[in-house]
Amino acid sequence: MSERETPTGDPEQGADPRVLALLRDGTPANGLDLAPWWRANVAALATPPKRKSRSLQTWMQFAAVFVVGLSLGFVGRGGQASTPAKTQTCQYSESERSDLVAVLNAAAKNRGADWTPRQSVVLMLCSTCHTGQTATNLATLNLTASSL
Amino acid sequence: LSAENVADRTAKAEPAVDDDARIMEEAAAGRVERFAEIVARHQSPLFRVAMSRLGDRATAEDAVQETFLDVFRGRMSFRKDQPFRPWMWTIHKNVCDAWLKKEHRWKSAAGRKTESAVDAVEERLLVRELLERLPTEQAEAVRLRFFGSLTYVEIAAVQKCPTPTAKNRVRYALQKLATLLDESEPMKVRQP
Repeated sequence: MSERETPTGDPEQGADPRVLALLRDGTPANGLDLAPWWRANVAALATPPKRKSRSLQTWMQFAAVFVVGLSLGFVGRGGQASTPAKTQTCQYSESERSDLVAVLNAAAKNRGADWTPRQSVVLMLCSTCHTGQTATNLATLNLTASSL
Repeated sequence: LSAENVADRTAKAEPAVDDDARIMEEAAAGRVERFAEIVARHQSPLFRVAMSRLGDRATAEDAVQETFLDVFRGRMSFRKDQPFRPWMWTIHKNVCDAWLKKEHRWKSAAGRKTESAVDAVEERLLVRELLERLPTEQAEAVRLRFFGSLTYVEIAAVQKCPTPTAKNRVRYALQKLATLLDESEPMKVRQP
């Protein structure tokens, strides 16, 4: 008979009395009393923690940092950062870019105008140029383009 | 533990069933001090089962406290039309499962048997060892029935199985325990 088959009556009826006695005597010892702790602390558990108000000293520290920032020119009008954004300059010269495009176009001629790798390489070139990353260089791109 | 005793303990627990749901409702409504009654009422059976599963007193105490914290946190989501005890025992089971999974307490507890034997009677160790040799769900059903005093309907709810399956798990477990007891007779002889 499997576990899922309908049983007949109480499982404990007819069970080995030694087992029932052992379960009675082997019941883990008690002695735990958490109720006093709960009586003392349950109210605190139910209260959402208060937002800690900042002391005057903390506000003074914030103000000091702000003043130092202002004097160094990091803070401009209305608290906006005044440091100018870096000018995005392409790391490749015009002729280098022309060379790459020529390589890509030559490869595209054989493979059709909608040649997807060509578009991907051009996108990579643009993002490489205009985010200032230097991980890729034109030689690699040329190599990629010619190997494509 | 005779069948009458279990039935008696279960019958004594029955009137508390409605009370538990009412107390949870009151605690959710803001009378949180009432929750201590839930703790006082259920801590012993929860501890006995945790102790049997985790094998270490400190860990079992932590597991029971964690269970009550989860029950307390869940007071807002507890639906008063659902039975409280299976809900609480399911939380307790999950807490114990998490302890066993994360901390491998059972293994470490087994390693500490020698030192824990100082304050534990050998029957307890024997019961733990025998239960460990049963299929997990059968051992769990026995713990819930004999240490937690749950009804078979409640055991079925905690184990997410039909009530007849819960009964059969206990039945087969008791049969296997009898067989294992025969095999471990030499251990019994050593008992005082």
